[in-house]
Amino acid sequence: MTTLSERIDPIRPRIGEPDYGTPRSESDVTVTVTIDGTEHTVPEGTSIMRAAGEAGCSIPKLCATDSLQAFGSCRMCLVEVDGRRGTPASCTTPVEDGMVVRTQTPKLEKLRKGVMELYISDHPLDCLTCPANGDCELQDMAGVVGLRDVRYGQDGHSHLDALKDSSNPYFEFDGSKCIQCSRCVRACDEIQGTLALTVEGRGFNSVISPGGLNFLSSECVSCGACVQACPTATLVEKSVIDLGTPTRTVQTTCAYCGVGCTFNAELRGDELVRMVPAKTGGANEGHSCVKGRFAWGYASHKDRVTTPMIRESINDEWKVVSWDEAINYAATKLKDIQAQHGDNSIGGVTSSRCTNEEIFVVQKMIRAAFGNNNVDTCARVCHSPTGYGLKNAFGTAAGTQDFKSVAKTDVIMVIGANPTDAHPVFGSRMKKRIREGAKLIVVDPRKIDLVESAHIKADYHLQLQPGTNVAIVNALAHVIATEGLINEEFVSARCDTASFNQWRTFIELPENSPEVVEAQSGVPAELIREAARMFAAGPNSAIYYGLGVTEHSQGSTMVMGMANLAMATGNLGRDGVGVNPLRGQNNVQGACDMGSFPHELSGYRHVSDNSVREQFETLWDVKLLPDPGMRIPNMLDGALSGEFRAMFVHGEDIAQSDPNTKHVKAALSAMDLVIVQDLFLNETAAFAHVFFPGTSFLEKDGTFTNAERRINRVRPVMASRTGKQEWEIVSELATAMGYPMHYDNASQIMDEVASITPTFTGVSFEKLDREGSIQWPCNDANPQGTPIMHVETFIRGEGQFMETPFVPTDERSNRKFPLLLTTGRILSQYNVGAQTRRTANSTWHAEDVLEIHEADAQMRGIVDGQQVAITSRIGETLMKAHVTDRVPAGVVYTTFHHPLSGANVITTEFSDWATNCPEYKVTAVEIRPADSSVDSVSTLDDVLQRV
Amino acid sequence: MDVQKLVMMGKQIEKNIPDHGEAHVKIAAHLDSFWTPKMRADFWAYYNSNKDEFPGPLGVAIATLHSQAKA
Ligand code: SF4
Ligand code: SF4
Ligand code: SF4
Ligand code: FES
Repeated sequence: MTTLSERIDPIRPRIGEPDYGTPRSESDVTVTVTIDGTEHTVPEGTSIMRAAGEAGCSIPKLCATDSLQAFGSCRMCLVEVDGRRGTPASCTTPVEDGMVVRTQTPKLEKLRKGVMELYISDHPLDCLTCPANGDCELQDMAGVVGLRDVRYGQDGHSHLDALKDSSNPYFEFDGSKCIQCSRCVRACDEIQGTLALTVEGRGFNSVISPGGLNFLSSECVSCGACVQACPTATLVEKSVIDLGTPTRTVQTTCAYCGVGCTFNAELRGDELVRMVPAKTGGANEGHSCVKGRFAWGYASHKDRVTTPMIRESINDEWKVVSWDEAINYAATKLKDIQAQHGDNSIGGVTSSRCTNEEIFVVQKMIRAAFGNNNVDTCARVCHSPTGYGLKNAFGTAAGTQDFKSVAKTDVIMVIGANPTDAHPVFGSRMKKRIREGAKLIVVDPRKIDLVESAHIKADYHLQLQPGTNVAIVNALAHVIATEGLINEEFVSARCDTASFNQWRTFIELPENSPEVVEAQSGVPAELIREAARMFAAGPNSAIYYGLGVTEHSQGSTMVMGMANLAMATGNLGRDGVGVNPLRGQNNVQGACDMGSFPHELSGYRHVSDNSVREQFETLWDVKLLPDPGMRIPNMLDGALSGEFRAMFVHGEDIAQSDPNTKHVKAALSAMDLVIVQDLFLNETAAFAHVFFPGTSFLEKDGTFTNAERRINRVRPVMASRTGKQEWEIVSELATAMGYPMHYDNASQIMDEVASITPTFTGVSFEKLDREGSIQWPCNDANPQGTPIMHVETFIRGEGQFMETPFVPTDERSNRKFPLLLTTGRILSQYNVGAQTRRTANSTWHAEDVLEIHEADAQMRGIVDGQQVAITSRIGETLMKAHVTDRVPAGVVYTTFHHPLSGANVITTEFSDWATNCPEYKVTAVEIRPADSSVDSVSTLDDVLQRV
Repeated sequence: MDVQKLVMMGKQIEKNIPDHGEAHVKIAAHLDSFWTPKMRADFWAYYNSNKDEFPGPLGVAIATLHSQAKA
């Protein structure tokens, strides 16, 4: 029989970040307090617990953690304060100027030991075999208070018969270890905002409940906040149970969405045990979503290819070869094609999933070694209109705010974005602000979760017809202009008068009135008027938008329309306001910054600018072309007409992600050479002749830039499984083509970016490692970076108003295709699903489904769960129907995460007028039950054969 | 590239740039900024034999670019 102390010891040091017990106070006012005889100065509002922790006198605690508001339930943190009776809880008691506090006295020790005794008497005490052994705050605190015996015996209630809930694929709930501190419940409420957990029962009988049968069937979105908050092994990652507690940490950045969460990758030896969101992360401040927190297993998935491969024809088997052979094969072929078909016959695509350094090197290879500007990026198919619109209006192609800014917003307008699914950590910030009282206007054809969910209800949901964004933004601005709501002071001080006057004349035209727009958009005029008034009243109003804005034939117009709205109401240049693109992929901002567009060098400078081009020519010792190169659609069209023959596809799956799959596949098939660099043999690799295996984010060394222009470090958590970094491979390919390129490390690449890009001159790995992250512009004028842009003046000088006439898309519903299909994302999956489908995230979303309104379903004899055929003028595909009122009658919706359903089989060739960003959000379709004419078990290729 | 696609793109640009008498300048700048020289040249060649199809600022724009040796 072991003794109590043997069973709770030994305590190994915990890894991870310090926990000060309560959140940091944001007050600018300071107070001075004496703690255990030493004076400390802290911001007003700081708890005694935090002040003591910061002063190095940690106070024992159980129910407090610095990511949550203090709750004061465990009574472990009692202190003595001169002049006060009793022993107040240090977590709930703020310091006051002149306060004298004692944290360690015999009386306090006795009280704490007594409290701990009660906890331990009701705890299983199987510490030596517990998965959290060494990483358990209860264990730590028992040690800290010196508990060696339990007077009440150790056979308390202890819930030993409590059921374990293993339903969630990533974490387990073991009720027997629960100390009812409610940190999990509060984390779900305060941080995540899902409110999935409750405390059921009272006292020793109380239990934590996720509602429903178990975690998996509950409202839980598997963000992991409760697991992180839990001080015991009650909620614990299954990977910790399997692999043991981690022993070391490497800080890095999530490679999924544009929020760019910072994580501590916790390892045991060389094995990654878990990813824990970093409290020091500028974008996420300790929060995460199910993708970044748990869905990293794809990096070691069996499908991963780690050796280079080549083949003569796409009908041949792949042949595994050495790096040298693969690189020389690719270089020789590229040079041969250029010799035969001209310099312009080849090009490449950079990836928003890769690091800035990798992207910079790829576009450099294309411009310098390929000798043309045929470089484009997957931002083409998502946020290229953001670049175009914001650059025209404000002078730079980036969002105006940091994420924190939303905490100061009074009216949030979400347009064509679904933050709780696609940008979940930012979505949680937004929900927190809404729970605090901010108003919410949602502009979306679909009833997204923000329209109505736990403690959230949009004040206005402008449920417009797909394709009518511009009409709506014009109508909102019309109300503001015609009802005297323009912020004249801001406009005259900050904006170009001539463009404003011209815009005002345009926007006041009756064609932009809500009454006219009601007929176009289906949104009642009065709702538009009320929403416009609310937005203008602010005082701080902010626009957040996503691909529901950009992926339209008028995507760029809409971005300019939103910029007009923000300028007209004076909502730019300070906290709480702004025009904020929610970028899709982790590094889509960086891909654009690094010069991935065919017309721009890094820092958004046009290739025709002689002085800029000359700087690059001098640095790179090569002549650059002054004309824009081909965009992705031009390359694909060029392949079909025979003028474009070879493509280097870096980390993208254009055969799945780009519109009109049949066209893309035909174009890829027509090329003489396709080089794919990726983790997996993706859909595009089926058309490739050379495959360069890529590195996962866990192996990369570099930086990502998130949607708030924040440059975050990506550090190698493990060695590259291919033996090389991707920038090395690209450099070797360029060298083999006759343009020598060499870097010793990724840091040298960033130094080169900084040396030639005015917005990055202050950026270096050394500085990023020191500061954590930096938001560009970072240069002599802004050495610490720029959280909020356009504060005193716009980057372009005066803000530019642009007329934004509504031009309806040519893609209209008609008798043959009476429904409008629009697309989006789901929380658990990411883009084409290449990564998330190779993780347990498929538990939540194993296939794409088609959301259809009951009236439309009934009319077609479709029932929930039935397989249906979706036909557009481009193609046909199959999916299961989900009958729902999330979409209005006349509109259907699906995601695009699975190659089998292949939503892009049916999307069209229409695109944004300015940037050619595909019009994914509007496709006229018809739906019918899948019947004998379409075999419900057809593969995608079978379906393609028929269309 | 299929010239009909270029025509479609050009017309879409024309429809989206409001005309107060200066749209041809903006359209020309747009084509100069974002189209490859070959796209401009192919479009010019088509325009040159189908001028009636381009009565508005798009035609003026491509003609201007041609006169500047940019198409
Ligand atoms: S994982 Fe997240 S959503 Fe689920 S119960 Fe925990 S905090 Fe709530
Ligand atoms: S599950 Fe963990 S966090 Fe929740 S009440 Fe129990 S011990 Fe506390
Ligand atoms: S997917 Fe986005 S929100 Fe989720 S952890 Fe990664 S960066 Fe954060
Ligand atoms: S930590 Fe203060 S009461 Fe629990």
